[in-house]
Amino acid sequence: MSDENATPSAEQRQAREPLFRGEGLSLSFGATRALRGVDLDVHAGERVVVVGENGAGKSTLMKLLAGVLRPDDGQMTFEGSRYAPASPGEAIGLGVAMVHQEPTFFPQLSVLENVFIGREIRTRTGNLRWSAMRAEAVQLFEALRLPVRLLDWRMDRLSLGEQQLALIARAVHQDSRLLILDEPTSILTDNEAEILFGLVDRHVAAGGGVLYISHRMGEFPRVADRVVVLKDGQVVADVPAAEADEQTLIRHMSGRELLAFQRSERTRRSAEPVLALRGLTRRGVYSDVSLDVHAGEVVGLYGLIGSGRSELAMTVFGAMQADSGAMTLKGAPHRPATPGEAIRAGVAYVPEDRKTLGLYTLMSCGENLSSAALPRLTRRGLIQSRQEAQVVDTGYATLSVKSTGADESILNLSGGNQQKVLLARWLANTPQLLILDEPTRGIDVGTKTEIHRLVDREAADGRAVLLISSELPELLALSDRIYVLYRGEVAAELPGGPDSEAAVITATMGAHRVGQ
Amino acid sequence: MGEREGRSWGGLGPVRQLVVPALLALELLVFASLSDSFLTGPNLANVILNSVDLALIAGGLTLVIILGGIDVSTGPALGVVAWVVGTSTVAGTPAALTVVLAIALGALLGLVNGAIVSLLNVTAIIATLGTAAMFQTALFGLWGGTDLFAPPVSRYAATDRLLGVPTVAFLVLVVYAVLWYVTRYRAFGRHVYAVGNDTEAARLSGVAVRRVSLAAYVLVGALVGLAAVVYMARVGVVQATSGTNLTLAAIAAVVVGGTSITGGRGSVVGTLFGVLFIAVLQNGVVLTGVPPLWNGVLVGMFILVAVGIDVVSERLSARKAATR
Amino acid sequence: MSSMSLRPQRLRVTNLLRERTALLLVLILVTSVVMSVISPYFLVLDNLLTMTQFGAVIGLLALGQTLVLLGGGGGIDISVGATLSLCGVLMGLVVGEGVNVWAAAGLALAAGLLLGALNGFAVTVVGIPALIATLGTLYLFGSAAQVLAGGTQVGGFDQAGFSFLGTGTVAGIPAQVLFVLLPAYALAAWVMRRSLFGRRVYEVGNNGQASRLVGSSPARTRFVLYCVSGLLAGLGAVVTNSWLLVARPGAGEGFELQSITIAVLGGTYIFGGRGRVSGTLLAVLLIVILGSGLQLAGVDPSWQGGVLGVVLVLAVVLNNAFLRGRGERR
Repeated sequence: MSDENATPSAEQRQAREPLFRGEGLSLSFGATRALRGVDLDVHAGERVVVVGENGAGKSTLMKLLAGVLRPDDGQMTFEGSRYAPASPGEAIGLGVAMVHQEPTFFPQLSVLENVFIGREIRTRTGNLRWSAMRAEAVQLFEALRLPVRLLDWRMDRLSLGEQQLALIARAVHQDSRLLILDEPTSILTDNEAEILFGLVDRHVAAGGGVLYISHRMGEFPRVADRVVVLKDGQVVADVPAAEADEQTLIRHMSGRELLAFQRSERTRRSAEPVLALRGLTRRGVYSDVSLDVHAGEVVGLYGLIGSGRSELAMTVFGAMQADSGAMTLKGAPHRPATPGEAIRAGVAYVPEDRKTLGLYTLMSCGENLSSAALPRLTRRGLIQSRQEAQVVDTGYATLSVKSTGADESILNLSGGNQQKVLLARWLANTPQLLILDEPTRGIDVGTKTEIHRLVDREAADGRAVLLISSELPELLALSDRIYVLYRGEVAAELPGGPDSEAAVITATMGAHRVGQ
Repeated sequence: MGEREGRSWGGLGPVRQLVVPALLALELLVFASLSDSFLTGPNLANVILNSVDLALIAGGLTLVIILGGIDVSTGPALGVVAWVVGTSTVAGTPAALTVVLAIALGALLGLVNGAIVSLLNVTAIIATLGTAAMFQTALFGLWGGTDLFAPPVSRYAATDRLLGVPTVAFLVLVVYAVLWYVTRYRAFGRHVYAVGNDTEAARLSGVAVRRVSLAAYVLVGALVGLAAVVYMARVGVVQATSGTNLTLAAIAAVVVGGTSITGGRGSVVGTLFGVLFIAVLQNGVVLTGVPPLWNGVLVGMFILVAVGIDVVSERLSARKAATR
Repeated sequence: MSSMSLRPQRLRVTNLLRERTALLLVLILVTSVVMSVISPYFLVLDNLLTMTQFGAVIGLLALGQTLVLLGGGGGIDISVGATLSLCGVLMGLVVGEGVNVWAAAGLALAAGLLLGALNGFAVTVVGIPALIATLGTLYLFGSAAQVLAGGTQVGGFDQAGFSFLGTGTVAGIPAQVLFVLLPAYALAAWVMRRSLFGRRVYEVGNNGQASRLVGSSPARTRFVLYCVSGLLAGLGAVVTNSWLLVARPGAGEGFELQSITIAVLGGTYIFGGRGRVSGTLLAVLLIVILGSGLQLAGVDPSWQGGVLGVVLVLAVVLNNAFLRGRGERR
């Protein structure tokens, strides 16, 4: 933990104009106010970590800087002049490079080419100078302490962490003055993370600035000069890293506006759980997960992106297989090889990514709704249209879907109504176990409340519900119990309700684990 | 540690890279031992003469396929240009002018394809199916019911030899050398690979996606034009369906050569081996007394086996990389 | 923010489909009017019915192609013509061995099914991209047909009333249309509309991952589609044989690209999930009318190819114009 890199003292920083300054930055998506007047400075040679709960506005803020999004209000200056990039390309040209959480690259090309595509070194006649590019890349990689041999490998043969480092190398190579990293260490091994920290140090030593989103508090003393805490789209704390101890940060991050939601009385229907996981492990994804879900309760599953939440749900649903461990459903061994088997066993899963995993965008609302129930509605291979219509009607009524009719194209519906159709798709099967993965993401407030009521009602009616949500207030309000996953492991099991907030955040950050 | 590929450059893995050359060598050995007349100068010259037009088309097509596109109009386009070449030759136009005309016309037809694909955003296979039908009809109209006979535009395009080797073989070598140089040492070439890997990532990296795509289709068109000159010199006649069987043969050569039909990976050198493999196969089969009708069976099996190996080995090494 | 791109659109997909149907109907009408002006004979009922027979074989192949395309996942079958050739030759050889021609026809269908299954295996099990897999089998089947036929044609079909299928008429309607083409389309339309399988095809073609999550098997569904395409090609072989009364080893050449053109012209989305059997039938009708109209007008029917090429590209360009801003490209 020695601090060998020379970072400018506070006085030196104050004396200079900041490298980047954002003032009063605001941005809304529909009714959701993602950012509400954020002020943020980054000085040359400074490393700033931005922390906050899921949905606090961190990624949105970074995307403003990187030219992916534009603010509704407020202004930015970079290197002393007005800064309003219209595209990521323009931002890169001006010296602001961002490495996204889910990066894009050229999988079948070598790492060397991935670093240089679009900004190749050429001779005056336009020939590519491979030797010069290689020499520069070797220099870059050596400086970054990345293995030089990686340069010749195909990008898709690298591990996720190596890919991430290569892309960071590309960003550094783009002569960026301000480097923005969105949760770069979530998929890195400890060794790789150490390489990254060295890279960040060198970047600031060379006079650049670094903005860094992270959840791993254990890292902060190593990687940050200053920690900025965002909550509900506002800056609630801006403290030097030395003063940013766990308790302080968690105190700042918690206390979000709570959900005014009175959940109904629930009773566990039996001592035996509907779903029980024991020591479930999938290498590199989740490990040794044990949890129970009873009939008549909502069990919340919380964790950061990459903590293995969705993968766990996919495993229960047969869309992914575990390496070891055991699952039981209503006391019987449960090891579905396909979603079809899981469905027949009484499991329903409403996936997180509505568009790629749920919707048939070219089909009608009715066809989208009845899809999972079809085998039940089929006689001798033919869909019984009257029964199908009944299922659709019931679904429409239960969820009060708003559309001109079941024939309407699903694309014409709002996100909220699309989500209702997908929920209805799964409720139509009256499952034993209902798994909801981010059921309220990206939908309007009104529909959100309706979905909350629905989840509550399902549990009160005796259904076992496993709820995955990144929205802590929602999860706290709805759940009877909450399991927190940290890097694939159950870090805590806590009771639901607002009192657990700080404990959940602490477990989410792996605060008590880092540094072991 | 999983198996790592060496220098890839969007090219083929070490195993896949050697499959076709190895099979070609095997093929040569087998045919040489089965037939005395196989490894003779005249016969090998024959092999080359019969595959030059295919080689030229397949070379250009390789770039389009690496780009993630496809062109199923090359055969009919060749027919149209061949008619113009024949007519021009009969009319006594200077050979050089005819060649330039052929290349320009081919490039123009390629431009039509490229414009529909990259400017109007029509899926490549639909766009070129459409233009294939148009070119086919255009040829039909030009042909007008009577076969057009014409002498070679120049003896260099026909049976002329240089150092005992058909002169046109050097044309192929030059064209492939240029294509290799372009794919390796020009930004355009590398951008073709980038677009084929991930169009969106290419755009974000500052690659002019539309321009690259347009240029690739024009390039294949120009090579089709050049191929038409050689075709005319070899066949000597234009009919209503001239060239049509080259469309799929060219795709087959590219695919056998290891280029991925889904784009992003492949090489012109591989394609040259693919063309040679198919040409030698067709010739050797005849010489060894197998009815030439078997050709397609062998070509078809080879496509399935070569690409099947490719697909399975990709899947295995990807799995290895994922679980590493 | 996936919801951003999922905002309500005033443009409805079903409308677009209807628009394609409308476009085809308009084209058919215009062509018919022009043709009847050129040749008064054109509109005679007898002629109208007779000319439908030219659409029977290609209609069957285009139907198979439509189904394979609908299944999505890059599905395409360019071996349909070669499958037809091979099935036809096999049927001829079996008849040559003294087998009853109708039994031989049944065998041809079985052969088609088997060849389709081979395609399906290569694509859905081995994982070879469909374009390449069926390019390989195109060579394989086409050449096998040549080898088996010894390069010439195989005959002997003129027995047991077999020629009626290809040349007979009932109430002026060609038997191959009445007994093969229309039933095949009707059955396909019914299956696609009413059955669980049909619905799964649309689902898989539209969103394979979502379809898997509701418990269906994309690979199995697509495998069946290739089998059906092969079966229809076998049926096409039977019809061809009963019409020509000989099996030519090159009978199906050129049909592969034509069948794709017709399917796409009929409104089938090349990436799957959208399209209708009825649209393909209309496209077949357009081609038949155009072809025979041109013939009546004394123009060689080969010209229809070019016209269709233009229509095909224009239809897609128009669709693109409608879809612009929805992030959907074809």
